[in-house]
Amino acid sequence: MRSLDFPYTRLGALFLPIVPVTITSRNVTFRTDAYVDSGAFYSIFRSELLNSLELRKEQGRIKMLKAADGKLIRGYLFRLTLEIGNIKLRPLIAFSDQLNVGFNLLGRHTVFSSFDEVAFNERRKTVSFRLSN
Amino acid sequence: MDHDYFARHFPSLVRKHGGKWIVLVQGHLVGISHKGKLAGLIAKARAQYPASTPFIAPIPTRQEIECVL
Repeated sequence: MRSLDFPYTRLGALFLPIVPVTITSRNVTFRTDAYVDSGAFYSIFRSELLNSLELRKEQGRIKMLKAADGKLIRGYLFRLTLEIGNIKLRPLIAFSDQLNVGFNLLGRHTVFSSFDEVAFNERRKTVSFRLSN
Repeated sequence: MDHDYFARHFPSLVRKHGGKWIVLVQGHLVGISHKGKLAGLIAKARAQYPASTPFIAPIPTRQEIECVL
């Protein structure tokens, strides 16, 4: 089994499961960080990143998403290439300008589900993405 | 490399620049700005390091981190 292990990012007494990802649209690639959120169904990225991908939100499929506070927010879904370590995925990613969270979020749909296991080790402060060979 | 920089400086970035965006290339800080000036920062990164992939990330505020927890 292949395992990609990432140490948590520390902020004082807090340890956060933030991992580096590479995201690609048709012609543009950049790296960013994303918070691994087992409570999120969709992966939701900040809409400011659409410009960097040379995409317009109107090109995406509109989807209403329920935020952690219960409010509905509007997202624009795109199928893009996302790399975690050396694993390349084609997930659906929502971009929203109503995401009042200072992170990009990696959710279960087409990201967690691309792996056999996504494990949070709170003692070792690591998050691992595991895939059968 | 850029993720390591971000993780290493995360506490001070949150404290001093929460709510802004950071752009890095190959472990070098290109700049930190509000979202209105992000496009200019990315253009600068691509001009300075045309062969490299930039790192672009929002810097959360302390309040936003507490929201996600």
